[in-house]
Amino acid sequence: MSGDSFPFALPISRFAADTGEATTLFEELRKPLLRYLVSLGLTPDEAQDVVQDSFLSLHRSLASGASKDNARAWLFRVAHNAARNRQKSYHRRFAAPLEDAALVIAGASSPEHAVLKREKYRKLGEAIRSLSDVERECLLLRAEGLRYREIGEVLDLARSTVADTVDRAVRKLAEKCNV
Amino acid sequence: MCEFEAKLVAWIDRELDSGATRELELHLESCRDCSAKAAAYCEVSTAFAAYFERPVVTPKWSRRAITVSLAGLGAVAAALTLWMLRPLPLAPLPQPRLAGPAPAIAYVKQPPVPAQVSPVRLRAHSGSAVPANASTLDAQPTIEIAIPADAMFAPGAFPTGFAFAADLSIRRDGSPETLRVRPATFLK
Repeated sequence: MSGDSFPFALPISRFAADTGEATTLFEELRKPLLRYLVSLGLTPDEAQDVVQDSFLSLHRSLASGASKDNARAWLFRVAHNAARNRQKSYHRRFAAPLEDAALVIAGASSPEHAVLKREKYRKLGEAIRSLSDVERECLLLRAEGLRYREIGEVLDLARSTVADTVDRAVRKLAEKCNV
Repeated sequence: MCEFEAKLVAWIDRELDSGATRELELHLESCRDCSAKAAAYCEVSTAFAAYFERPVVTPKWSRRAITVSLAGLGAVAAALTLWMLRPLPLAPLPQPRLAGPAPAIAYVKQPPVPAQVSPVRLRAHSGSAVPANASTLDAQPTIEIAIPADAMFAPGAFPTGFAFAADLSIRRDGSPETLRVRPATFLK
């Protein structure tokens, strides 16, 4: 039996290429995704699970022949939705103050510097908690290096809406932090 | 409010097209207020990213690892302290000398002054009479030193109790005048 007698052709070469692409993406985006998910309120263990599930979905999608023009936005969107499905932990992070004095003052060079640094950190925490969910998510994705268009794909928003949201959120933070 | 202020965040994020970017950068050269605001937006954006950097940089397991490491360090320190405070073996005590020469005994023996002798006429221990004006008039009473034979010779060289006696006479100025050693058996 020769290879030509198969009733259908297995996309072996394509599968191998897509697997290599997924591996490259995993190395590049694993840490930003973890950081984003933990920032949303997931525990590190939960974030690890979500990241693995997201890459598994990407792998299956690529193996099935689906086109992923912007895999980065696609991965963030899948991970974001998975985090939203864990609503309890998603909102856990912002329900309580995040300050950890020991960590905040760790790099301070003097007691006065430590007090100032802690105060600045406290104000920033309050300002972040005053943001809406969308504003906070836009800034988190922006901090991970996503473009406005990609943020729009993740959060299902128009690019202009993302631009306005980011602009409004940054101004709000600057105003509340007296920067 | 400056008309360019609404574009500052987008300019920071490089989301403006080339024409808008060039226009805004020309404006920033002349507008201090917009420049200051752009710097403030950059600063707060950096602070926001740093605020959320912490959870991934210091996950729970690393804190636990630090705690375990500190506990291990404490255990090592405690073990080292106990080892340093362990009871050390005592240094051997000096063995007492079970046998040795008997010490010499020295005492001043006042020679008996005969009743007929005038206080100015001293009689030497040897018993020889000396004139009152002799040089020995200045002599002090004789000192008799009893020296056990074991103190000078090996044990057994002389019978037990055998001793020597040294008669020492000293002048009034403290200098020795005579020393005579003789056998004696008065030690009991």
